[in-house]
Amino acid sequence: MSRLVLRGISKTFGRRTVLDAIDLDLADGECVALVGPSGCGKSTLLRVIAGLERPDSGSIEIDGTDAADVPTHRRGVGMVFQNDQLFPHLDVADNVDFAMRIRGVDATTRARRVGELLDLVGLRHLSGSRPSELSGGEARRVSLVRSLAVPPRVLLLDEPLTGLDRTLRDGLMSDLRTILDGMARENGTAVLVVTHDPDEASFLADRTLRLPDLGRAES
Amino acid sequence: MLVLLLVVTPVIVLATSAARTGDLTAVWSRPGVTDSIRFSLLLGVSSTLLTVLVAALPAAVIGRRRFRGRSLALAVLTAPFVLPTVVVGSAFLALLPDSIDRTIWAVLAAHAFFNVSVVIRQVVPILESVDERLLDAARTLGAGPLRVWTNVLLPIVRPALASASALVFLLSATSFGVVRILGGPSMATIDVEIHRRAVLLGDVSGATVLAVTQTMVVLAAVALSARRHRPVGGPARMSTSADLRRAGPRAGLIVGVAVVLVATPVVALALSSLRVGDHWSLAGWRMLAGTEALGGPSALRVDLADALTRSMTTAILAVVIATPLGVGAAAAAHRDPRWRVLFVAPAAVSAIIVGFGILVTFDQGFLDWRGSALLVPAVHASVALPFVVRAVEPVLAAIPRGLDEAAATLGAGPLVTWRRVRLPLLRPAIATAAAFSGALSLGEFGATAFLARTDSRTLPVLVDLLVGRSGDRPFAAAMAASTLLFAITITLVLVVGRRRPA
Repeated sequence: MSRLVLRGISKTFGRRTVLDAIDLDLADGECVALVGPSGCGKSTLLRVIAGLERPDSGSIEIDGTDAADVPTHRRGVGMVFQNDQLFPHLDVADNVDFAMRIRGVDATTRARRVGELLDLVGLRHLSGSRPSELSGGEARRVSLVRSLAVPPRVLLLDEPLTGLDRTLRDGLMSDLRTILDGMARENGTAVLVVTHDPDEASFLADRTLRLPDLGRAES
Repeated sequence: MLVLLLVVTPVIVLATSAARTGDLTAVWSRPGVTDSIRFSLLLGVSSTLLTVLVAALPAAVIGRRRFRGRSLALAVLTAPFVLPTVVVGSAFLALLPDSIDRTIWAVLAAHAFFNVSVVIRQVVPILESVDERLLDAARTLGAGPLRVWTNVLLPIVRPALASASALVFLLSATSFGVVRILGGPSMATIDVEIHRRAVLLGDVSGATVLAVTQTMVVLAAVALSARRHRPVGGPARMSTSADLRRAGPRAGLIVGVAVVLVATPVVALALSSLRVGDHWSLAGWRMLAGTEALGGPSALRVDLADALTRSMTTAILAVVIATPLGVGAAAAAHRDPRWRVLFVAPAAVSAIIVGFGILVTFDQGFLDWRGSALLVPAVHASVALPFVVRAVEPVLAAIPRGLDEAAATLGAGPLVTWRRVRLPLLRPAIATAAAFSGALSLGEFGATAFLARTDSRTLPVLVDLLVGRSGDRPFAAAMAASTLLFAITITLVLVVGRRRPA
C-alpha cells in the first residue's frame, strides 16, 4: 500500500519555479533516495511534504488521506534537519524526550524509550549534555533518534551525512542503514533521503530517484 | 490596549483641550512659561556636553582594554541608569555642601552621574565588538594611537554616541525628579513647570499647552531619528575581553577614578541616612520601619512604613501586568513590525505628561478611575511596557526558525511550541525585563506625583515631600527611604536581571 503519494506538486518562489509538477510514490517501509544537483528543489520538496511550505498546486496523500490542510504537527511526518535544530535549552535526553512528553506519554515509558534510542546510537553517556557540548556527529545522531521517538509515518532526512568528516560519515552511514531497516520492519515507516552523493544514496536506499526526472519533462 | 488607553488617550485628550484653550498667546505670556522652555534647552545641552566629556575616557578604556574587575567596573558604571531619580537627587543632596545644593551645578552633577551610564551602555558594546586586527591593520598603514581613535574607532562608534547623546538630551531636558529635589525654587524645566501649573497654581490650560508642545517636539525628534537610523549589518560580534589589549596603569587609574566617583554619592547617601543633624542615629530607619513617628504638626503627618508597603505592592503589580503584556506585544511586533512603533513610541512621552494626561482624562463620569487602587500600578506598567518589548523582541527574533519547524515535525502545535521552546529560550530576557520593570515602578516619580493622593503616596513621592521640609528628622527619613530604594533597585537589576541561562 502507498504510504505517501504526491501528484503534480508545484512551487514557485518569485519568478523561479523550484518544483514543477512533481509526482512521487512511497510504499510502506520503503526507503527512497532523492538525488539531484544542489538548488534543484530537494529540500523544498521535503518541506512541502512536512507541511512547512505550502505548494502552489498539487495534492499530498498520506496513508490514503488528503494531507494538504493538515498542519505539520498533526501530519505524523518526522524530519531530520540539515543543521540538526536541537533545542539549546534542553539536554540530550530531553531533546529525545520532546515528542513523547508533549503527547503525554507516561514517565517510565519515556525514560525507557529515551535510553533505548540513545543506546541505538551509542550516546547514552551523553544524556545530560547540552547540544552546545556535542560534536557534529553526535548532534546528528541525537537529531536522528529525536525524530524516531514517536515513530513517524514518513521520515524525511535532509542531507543526513553532509558536513561530517570522512570517518564519522562511514560509521554513521552503516548505523543509519540499520536503524532505517528496523523502522521499516517495525512501523512500516517510509523514508525519503535527500542527498547529493550517489554512493550514499545507493547504500542507504532501496531505490534512487533523480528529482528532475519526477517533474514535467521540459524543466 | 493598555498602552493605548493609558498613554495615547491622555495625549489626545491633552491635544484637543489645548486646542480648546483658544487664546494661546495668553498662555505664552504667563510668567515662567517661556522661561521653562529656555531652561529645559539650556539644561539639556549643558548636561549632554558634560556627560559626554565625563564618559569619554572611561568608555574608551573599558571598551578597548581588558583588566581584572572589568565586568565589575562595567556593572558599577552602568548601574546609575536604573536608579530612581529621587534617589540620585537625594544622594547629591547628601554629598554636596549646602552652598552648592539648589544650584544648577548640583543638577548638572546629578545628571552627569545618571547619564554617564547611558553613554557607556550604548558605546562600550560597539567599541568592544571592533576586532583588534582591524586596528592592527590601521597601525601597519601608519596610524598612531591617536589616529587609530580619530580615524577608525570614532567613526565606528559615532552612530551609537549620537543616539546616546540624543537620549541624554531628552532625559535631561525633561528632567523632573532631580530638578525638584536639587534645583532651586526658580529652576523649572518644562516638566517641573507643568507640574507647578497643574498642581500648585491650578493653571490647567497653561500646563496643557506646555505638555502638548513638549510631546509634539519630542515625538517629532524621535520620528526623525528613527527614520535616519539605519541598522548596521548583522549583529555585532561579541568579542570576549581576551581579544582586547591589557590595560596599562594610566587606564586603570581612569577606571578607578570613575568607579569611585560613581560610588561616592551612594556612600554619602547611606551615611546621611544614619545621621540626624550632627549626630549618628538610626531614627531615619526607625521612621521607615514604622517604629518611630516622624513627629511635627499633625497636618504634615506621613506614614513612611505604609508608603514602603504600597511601593512594593505597586511594583509587584506593575511587573505582573507589564511582563506578560510586554511578551505578547513583543510577539505581535515580531510577527508584524508595524506594531513596533505603537509599542515603543510611548517610551518617548515623558512620564509627567502621562500622569498629567490621565489626571485630565479620567476625572469625570464613568472615566473616574483616579480612585482605583490599580491605576498607579497600571500606569507604571504602561511606562515599563516599551522596555519589556525592547528586551524581549530581539531575543525572540534571534530564535532560529528551524527550531519552531523542528518542534512542529515532532508534533508540537503553536501553543506547545511557545510553552516548550520559545518561553524557555526567552526566560533570561523576560527575567531581565521583569526586574527592570520592578525597578522602574519603584522609582517612578513623574506620573505618580500627579496621581498619588494623600493616602496613596509611594516612597519616591514621600522622599520628594520630605526633602522639601525643614528639619533634620524629615531629612534623615528621606535619606533612609532613598537608601532603601537604592538597595532594592540595585539588587533587583544586578541579581535578578543579570542571571545567566543555566
